[in-house]
Amino acid sequence: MIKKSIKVGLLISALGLGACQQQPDIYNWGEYETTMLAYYKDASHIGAFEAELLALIEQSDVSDKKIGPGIFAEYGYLLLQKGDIEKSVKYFTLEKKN
Amino acid sequence: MFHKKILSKLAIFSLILISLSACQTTNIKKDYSSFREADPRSILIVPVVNNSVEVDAPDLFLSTLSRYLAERGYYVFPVNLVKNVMEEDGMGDANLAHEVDPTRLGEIFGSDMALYVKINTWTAEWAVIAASVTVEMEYVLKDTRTGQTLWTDSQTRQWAPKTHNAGHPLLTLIVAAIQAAAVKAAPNYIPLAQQANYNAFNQIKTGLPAGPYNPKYQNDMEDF
Repeated sequence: MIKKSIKVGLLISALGLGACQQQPDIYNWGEYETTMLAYYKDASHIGAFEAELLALIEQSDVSDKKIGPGIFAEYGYLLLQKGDIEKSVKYFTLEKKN
Repeated sequence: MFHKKILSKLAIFSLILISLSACQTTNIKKDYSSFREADPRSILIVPVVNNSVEVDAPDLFLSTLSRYLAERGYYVFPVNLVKNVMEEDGMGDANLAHEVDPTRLGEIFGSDMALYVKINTWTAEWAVIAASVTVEMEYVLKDTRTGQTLWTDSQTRQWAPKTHNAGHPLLTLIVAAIQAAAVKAAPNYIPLAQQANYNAFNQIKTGLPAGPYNPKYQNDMEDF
């Protein structure tokens, strides 16, 4: 009896929770946050941050999900810092279109 | 038998109560009239002011903000780029950046809004067998076209490891001490910061109305 009521209760509560479930993400973020975090903890990890940005950009060509706003520009900015102006402009333009 | 019936009813009732409390808020709806009127589309995240003793808290926290704001439907300016540009422009000091006229930031970046965050607490407390991690922040969104404040919120999150009963008093104590030591060695603030952000921006009646890139844009008038 008690077991059964717990089951009923669980079912109801599951329905209740479903009603306020998180929406699925709009964007693909990959490891954008974690690699940025690692870079902020230790500046020598900038390479991994840059590699992840590029990986996300490459995925965006084949995935239906857009990549998060700002990611093209973040990558473009890292290129600009390295002095690769021509390539960086390309990614800033892509950011505009995203 | 009678006793069992009551117990089972109680079981159902308490589970329903749990499910309701997980979602419902007793919050009073904030005044969104100026937010709705401004109808902002983009957010610039200004360097985070740190009132805690942890020096790297602002940078670490900065990396947790974009996702939550973007998923609410706003264009979020690339945080690492903005951080560097502001540093080059002499606004790298967060306290100074918070003093700058918001409309000036709007002119530089072309944003609709700026988010100002202050970290008030970012601490891990440790006392041999007990530990806790606490984060506390204040969020303010200002219109960078008019300078008007559109939205404010504050969040506190605390975490403490659960004490496990290891069956033997001494063992239980040792387990607790190990847990506390682990917190001391590497307190993990990030999940708490993420929870704080999620709550601040998503909570019905107090969060941010869906922005133009969210399917609920302008369809959430009752909630916000």
